[in-house]
Amino acid sequence: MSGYGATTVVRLGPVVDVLTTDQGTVALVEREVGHQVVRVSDLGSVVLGLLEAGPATVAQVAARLVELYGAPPDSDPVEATAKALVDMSRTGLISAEKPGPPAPPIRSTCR
Amino acid sequence: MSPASFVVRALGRRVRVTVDASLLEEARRVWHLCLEDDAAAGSPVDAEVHHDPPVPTVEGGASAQTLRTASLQELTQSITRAAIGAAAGQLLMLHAGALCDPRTGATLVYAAPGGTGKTTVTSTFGPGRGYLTDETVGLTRDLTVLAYPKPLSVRRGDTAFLKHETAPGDLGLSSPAVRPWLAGIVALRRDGSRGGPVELEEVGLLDALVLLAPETSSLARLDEPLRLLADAVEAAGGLRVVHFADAPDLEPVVTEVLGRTR
Repeated sequence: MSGYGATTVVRLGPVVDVLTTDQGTVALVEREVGHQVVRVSDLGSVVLGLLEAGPATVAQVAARLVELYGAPPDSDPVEATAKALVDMSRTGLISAEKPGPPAPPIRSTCR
Repeated sequence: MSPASFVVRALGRRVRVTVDASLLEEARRVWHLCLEDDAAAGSPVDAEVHHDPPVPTVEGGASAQTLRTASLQELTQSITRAAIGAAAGQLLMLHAGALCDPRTGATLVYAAPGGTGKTTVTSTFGPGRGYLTDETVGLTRDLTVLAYPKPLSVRRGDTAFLKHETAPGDLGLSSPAVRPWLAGIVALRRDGSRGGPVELEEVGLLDALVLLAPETSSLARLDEPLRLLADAVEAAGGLRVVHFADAPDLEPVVTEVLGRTR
């Protein structure tokens, strides 16, 4: 069990900056003390872009990922998405919260 | 005694330091490479440090010399905080030592967590080279290197927990007469139990950002911080993680990077 359900609302974490190169993507995340640069997967980049517009439920995120990539062959899309979102929350990229105002836009750089 | 002031330049910022007059001479002496001309002392500064005088010795307490040593150590920490605070949002600041070639200005930046060898590396390879810092190096957006040639905090046998603020000149260190430029960045990883020669590990750009971010100050306050950090890494020819046991092991790395040309 991931701990997130279909109706869990996720939102953008304190992501200060994102850098994308041909090697992948990293994000600068503020912590309670200091900051951390973390790797972001391709799927994670899509999720960050989606949540930039505002919080979404796990089901909404899953639906968008299915639109983009198709349903996973051997697992439930919502469960798979929830698992990925939990992983992202561990690095501070997202958090699960009650709905609130949209997050400010992320500064983003492509090289 | 009454307070007295002097001005130091740290990371390109002017910091006015006010200390008890009893500490002035020693403080100025150990900060000699950062001292600004007294004639300009009245000019505007970027930050102020007001340092409390050493607490008088009480019966059975620490000796007056120990208190002075501790006070000078605290003063260094206060000046570092003030300079970093004044440069936050303007400079990329790496917790790193930095030395340069005294003729070409080619600069090696060696980033490492506190207490893992920056000062030892600096005092080992600094004599005869340009001393820039053993604590924090600043980089502008155009990657100009800004020095912070502070006193070196050196642990001695007589005080187990205190570090002695040591004038760079006492260790044979001096500021370069040429303008430093970023020639190489390494991340130091000291492991006293390892044997053999130094081991160099090349890391890709994004992993370099992950590795270096913990060794930065106020990174999130910069405009496009990740791009600036990436620009620095690329300008330096990439990041290498250097695994070593003792500071002298690093000689090939220091020689190679300081021998680079633009």
